[in-house]
Amino acid sequence: MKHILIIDDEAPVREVLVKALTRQCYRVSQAVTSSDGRRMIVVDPPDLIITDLQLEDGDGLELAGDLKKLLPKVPIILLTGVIFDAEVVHQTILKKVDAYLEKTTPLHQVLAEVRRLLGG
Amino acid sequence: MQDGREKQLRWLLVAGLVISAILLAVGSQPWHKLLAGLSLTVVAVALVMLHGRRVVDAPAVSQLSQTARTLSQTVQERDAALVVAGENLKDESLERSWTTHSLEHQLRYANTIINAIGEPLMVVSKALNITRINPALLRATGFAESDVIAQPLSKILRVAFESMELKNDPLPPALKEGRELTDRTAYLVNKAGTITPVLMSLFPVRDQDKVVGGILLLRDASKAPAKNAKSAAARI
Repeated sequence: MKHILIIDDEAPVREVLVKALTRQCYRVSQAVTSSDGRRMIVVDPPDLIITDLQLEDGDGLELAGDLKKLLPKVPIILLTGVIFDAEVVHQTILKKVDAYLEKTTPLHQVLAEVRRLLGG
Repeated sequence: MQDGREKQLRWLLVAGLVISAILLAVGSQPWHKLLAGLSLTVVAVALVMLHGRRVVDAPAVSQLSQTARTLSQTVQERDAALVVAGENLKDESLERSWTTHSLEHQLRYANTIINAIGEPLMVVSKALNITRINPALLRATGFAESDVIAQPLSKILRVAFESMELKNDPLPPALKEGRELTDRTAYLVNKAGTITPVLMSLFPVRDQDKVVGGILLLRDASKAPAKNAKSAAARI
């Protein structure tokens, strides 16, 4: 069973994602802060990470950069309510993460992206 | 009659038949033979009737069995369809929760940006009705949010008064043409009716190149740099 780590300080987001991903037969862990996330990937390395951009104790992009150094093969999805210009996404964000999704993206598309990054 | 019971009865009758036949064969007295003959006849008749009922009932039983099988299959199919519908419903419910939350997040994020601005600010529709305000504006006017949202802009901001020489309102044409206005003199009316001169700037809000409203940023005219006040006065 593939393991997914969600890092987001908004409980309703985590709640919906956990339910949806669990229904797709993934094992899901949650972290509220970036420091929790950093700790958890050492204790129980995930197969995929979904992180928010604006975290209480840090920046999701900075966190993604650090996580990539620790787990270079683990895909990271940046799931954020901050909507960036398409050019910014391509030139900056996608150099640091494997996928960028806005929180306005329909849930089934988020799940499809997870499936794609986990190879089916 | 249940199959198990019928089988037991048939075996009993067969046993009775055999015993009666033996008694008939080996009976020494005439009344023995008479009783055995009677018993043999009764048992044989019972066996024939039992077999006949079975033969007569067979098609009905077969039809009933077929109906039961069809019913069972239908129930199974309905169960499976209900399970699928239930799962779809769960997916749709999660999708709805996700959408609701994402819209709330967007609204909260937009409000956070507006609320972070320290100067009084409001968003107006193209028809110049107030659609959003920031806390600085509430502090400056003393109104509650519910007092001003969806109200005409003129309730709290005027470009001229009846007692003054009436000037053309520059906001409607600026919004129509999508033009910015900078540091124009206007008058903020607070809840007590007190009028405060302010410098007003308008920034048109576009949605896919169509002007849908504007952002009005107000500054206290008395605190504005002298050159701004002078230029504003020159314009009015």
